Amino acid sequence: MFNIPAYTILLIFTVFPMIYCFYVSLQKYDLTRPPTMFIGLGNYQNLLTHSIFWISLGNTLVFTFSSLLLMFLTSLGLALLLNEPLRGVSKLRALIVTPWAIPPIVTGIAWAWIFDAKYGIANYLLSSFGLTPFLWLSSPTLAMFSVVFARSWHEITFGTLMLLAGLQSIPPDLYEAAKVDGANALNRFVHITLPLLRNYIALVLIFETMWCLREFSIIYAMTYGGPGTATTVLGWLTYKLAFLYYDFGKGAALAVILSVLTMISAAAYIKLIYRRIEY
Amino acid sequence: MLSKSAVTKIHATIIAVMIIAVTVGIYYYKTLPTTPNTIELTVANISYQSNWIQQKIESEWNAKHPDIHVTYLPLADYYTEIVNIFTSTPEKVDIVRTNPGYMAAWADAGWITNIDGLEGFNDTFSKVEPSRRFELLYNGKHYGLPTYTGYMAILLYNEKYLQQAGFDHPPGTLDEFLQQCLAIKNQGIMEYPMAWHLKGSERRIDWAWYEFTLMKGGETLYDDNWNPTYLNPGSPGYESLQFIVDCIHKYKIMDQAAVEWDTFKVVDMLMKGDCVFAPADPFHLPNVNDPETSAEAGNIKMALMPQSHYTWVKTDQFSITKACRDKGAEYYEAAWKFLRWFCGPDNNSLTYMYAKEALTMHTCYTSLNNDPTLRATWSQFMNVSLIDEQAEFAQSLQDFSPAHKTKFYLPWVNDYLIPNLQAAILQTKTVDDALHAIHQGFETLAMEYGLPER
Repeated sequence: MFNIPAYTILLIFTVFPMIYCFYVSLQKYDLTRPPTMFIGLGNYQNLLTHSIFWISLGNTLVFTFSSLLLMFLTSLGLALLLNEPLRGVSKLRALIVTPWAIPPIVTGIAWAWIFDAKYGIANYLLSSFGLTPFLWLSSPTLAMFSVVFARSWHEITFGTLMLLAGLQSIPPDLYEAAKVDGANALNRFVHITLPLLRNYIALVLIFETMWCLREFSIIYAMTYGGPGTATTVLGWLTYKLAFLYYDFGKGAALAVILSVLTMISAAAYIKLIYRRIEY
Repeated sequence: MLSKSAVTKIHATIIAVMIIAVTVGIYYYKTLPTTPNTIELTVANISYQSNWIQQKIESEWNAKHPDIHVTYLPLADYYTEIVNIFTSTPEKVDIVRTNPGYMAAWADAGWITNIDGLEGFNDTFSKVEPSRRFELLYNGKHYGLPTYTGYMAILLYNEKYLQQAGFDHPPGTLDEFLQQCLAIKNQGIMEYPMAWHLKGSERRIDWAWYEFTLMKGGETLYDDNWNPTYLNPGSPGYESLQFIVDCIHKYKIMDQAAVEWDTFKVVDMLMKGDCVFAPADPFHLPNVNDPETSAEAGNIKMALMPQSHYTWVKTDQFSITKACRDKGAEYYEAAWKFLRWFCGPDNNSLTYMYAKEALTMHTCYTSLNNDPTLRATWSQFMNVSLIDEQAEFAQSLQDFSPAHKTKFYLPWVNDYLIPNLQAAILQTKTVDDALHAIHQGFETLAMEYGLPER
């Protein structure tokens, strides 16, 4: 009985929207082409036979994988560093929160300015050192790199703090025992740190994958899905369908597809990485 | 005899009572019912120059028309918010701003209604500039009156750099344009003399393609039977895309970074002296030679578009909503009466001529374009006779690109036109493949949405 308020909130703000979204995805719900009518899986069929869907899916997978790799490796490195008893490490831990404190849309705008081919500071610095400036946002490959970089920079905070929490939960006795047994730093990292960190790693990967799959703000601010379709990802496409073309049926269908993709990836992480830890 | 403190208390009480009485009085005055039979209308618009337009409506319409009261509703994110209103509370707006990119979809969605047959329609319509009339037409009906025609592609150039390169006049043909750019580049004056808007978002690459296609001949992109005219090598559409690609990769007179630039950016570059040639809209003219905003003030001049001199023009308009019409004949007629005043020749200046930056060439009405006072005002910022000459070659965007008249215009432009034009420019597709992909997208969408009559 005491859980009823919580269940009610969950029902209203989570369960109902999901069900309604699925319901809308089964309708021809285009504001500029009334009337609305039930068309079953018509929206899904339309999306799956449209080349832009597959292009977006491919871009999303590239974006997700690249962002995860860059973010994870950087976060792990920073977490390991912040776990050491160094002078000033507490100030560094406070600084690491900065990227996450900035809204994603502002992050995107800032990086768009930095990567501006003509007036951005990135090319200014390259030119100062006698290097060739890059077309960060107008070359298809570099544009993808630029958005990946901007996103990874923004998410470093979450990854670092989560992994740092994991590192600090590992009993130091294990490391002492390993040192006594003659294990070097690499052995201790591979055989103690990584295994005991796997649940935290799983958590970081699940959340980051979820957020990468539905990325919108940074794409909107930096590239608008371009140049061409180079950075058109599923989140961006969903926005276009629903709010630029006013086709809520297709937008909802794409949102459902995104949700399924997210659930599959989360299940895969849990199955492959998550383990019950016993010290 | 009352004490001093008692007198003070009495005074304070009187003042407090007066303040309360005045406040209550004002409150009740404001909530008093309006004159019987007052028709309340709401007109929605973009939020540009809101205060000035609101004052004009209050002082020049509401004060003189007690039977028709108009509330002005500026919306910051207009095209998103207005759709929200159409779908949730359509009865709340009676007159809306629209533009050629949205008119067909809104008309088919039943959000706006036509104005043919209303009293005085023919008289008002006959005063509209001929090149603007086509833009009001969809499926044989007229959906509004024109309001703002500030979008007309014109060519600006920096005379200083041209003279440095040894040229005493701007290019008259595209060959001459190319020669001048190459000369400027080869003499080391500027690496990329040309800057064009090839960005994928607003003020963008498809307009650039239109501009060069028009320069090469002014042919419409789709003929009367909806056949594309741009697929064959040698056609203006084909040649213009190839020209843009060559400017970047073959002649290297334009930076590939142009795929990041919109019209504001290229005009900004012109004002900074970072390019020699750039397209613009006339509303940039007051700023490009203003020393406060432009480092190249005094050097920037206008030229006719080279070659055929054709250019495109786009006009925004105001339409009456279907919801207003459904309220009854008196509302419909009242909205029309206001529309004729708000957008008509007597007040066309109302909506955009207030501030210097909104000054533009050619209004929507012939009589205003010939008005000596307006022409004298314009001449502070532009060569009016050159604008007149360019305007004679202006083709309505909807006429040149009939896809504007389709319900699927936005998906076609965003999913097929822009990505494929950019792919050709980035050389991830050949010009041939890109243009075929553009038309294939058109055909796919036409099957799904249907085509309007031509």
